Amino acid sequence: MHLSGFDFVNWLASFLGNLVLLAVLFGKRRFESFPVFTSWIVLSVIRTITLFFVRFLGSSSYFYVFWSFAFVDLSLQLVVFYEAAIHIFRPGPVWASHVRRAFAWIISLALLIGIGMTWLGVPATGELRGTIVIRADFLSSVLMSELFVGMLILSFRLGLPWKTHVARIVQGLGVYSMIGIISGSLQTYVGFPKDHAAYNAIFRCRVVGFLICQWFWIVSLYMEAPEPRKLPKEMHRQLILVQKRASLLLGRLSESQRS
Amino acid sequence: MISRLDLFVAISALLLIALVVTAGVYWKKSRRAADSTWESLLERLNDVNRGNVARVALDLIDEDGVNSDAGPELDSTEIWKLLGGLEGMERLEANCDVLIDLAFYVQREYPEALVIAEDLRLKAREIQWHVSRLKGAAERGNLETSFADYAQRAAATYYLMTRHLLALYEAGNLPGYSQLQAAL
Repeated sequence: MHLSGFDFVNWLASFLGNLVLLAVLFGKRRFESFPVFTSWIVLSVIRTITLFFVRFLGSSSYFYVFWSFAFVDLSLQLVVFYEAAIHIFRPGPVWASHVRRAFAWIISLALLIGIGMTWLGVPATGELRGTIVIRADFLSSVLMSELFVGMLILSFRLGLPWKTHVARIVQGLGVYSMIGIISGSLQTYVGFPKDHAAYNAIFRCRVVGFLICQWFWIVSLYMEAPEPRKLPKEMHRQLILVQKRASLLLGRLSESQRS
Repeated sequence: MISRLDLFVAISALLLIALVVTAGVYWKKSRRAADSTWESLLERLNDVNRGNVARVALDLIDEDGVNSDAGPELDSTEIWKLLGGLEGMERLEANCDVLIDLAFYVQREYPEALVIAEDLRLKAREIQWHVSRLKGAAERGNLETSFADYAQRAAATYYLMTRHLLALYEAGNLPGYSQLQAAL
């Protein structure tokens, strides 16, 4: 399996970028807040190292290992979104009101569209393993792009803010997933057997897109989130009053509606 | 004849455009909400006749939110007139959006007040839900029977919440309190 000079630079940059990102995640103790995201980056590093050695064993072994990693990678990416959703929609010990049902709708709709789109696409390879990998990759890109937008809409409608680091992780992943839709569609369109060079060029562009997202994560996770302000005592007291009054009245309102 | 491949590319392009546009619109809205100041949030409160809302509310409860002993005296027609009918209730509903944004502000600026912010958000959404029940009743032609009860209680909740918001504004020593007091 021969790598061109450009591919080798991309591969090395991606590997080193992941190492730098891990250094930031551990050095700044971000892994405590984002264990799944950290695991996903760790998996990427392990995958790169493993695939480097496995490629000497022949294409069959390479594809088997590649596919296995791709499956775990897809699963972890979805859990990264769940981790972000916990940060956004469960700011306290319980999920914010009206979230679960809406979130279930978003996931169902995303799955429906994702599966439909993946079924419609005809991967540019006749080989079964390759077809599965390409389809799974496209499905993951569509799913995560939709989840990204869905979370954006839901959080805005519910008035739930995104903390700085969660926002950056989800933005990076969302943008990378959208790049995945573009590259997946274009690769399907140009086809591998028809235009080998175009197919590879699209793949390289996607890797460059990932490198940009990777450095976006490195820089934003390295920087500290803005320091929250201290709530003035009187303001705190008044907020509690608003809360109590509203609870009291709404309790009565509900009672009167039941009776 | 459109091939499956062409259809796939066309739908992918449409999906991508829809996702990018929606993300852009909501990102912009979120940024605007994040850039909101306490003052700009409260300025967004719709103009409602505070005197009338207070009259309807205080017919049901006292200043502390306790049910009045005498019981409500206003009839449906008077409540309808004082609150400005369904349109007036919709204005109260829109003001609940401001309450939700206020919760957003509080949570963003003061994470330690998270529980309060979440509760404020919950209650504001509940008021909106009650108003939506009124709208539903209007569509079904049952508004007359439902209006007095639902609207008076929603107005009472709203009245007390806005009153306390005003107190909060004053307590925070934020500028423009007197103008706001006049607006509310």
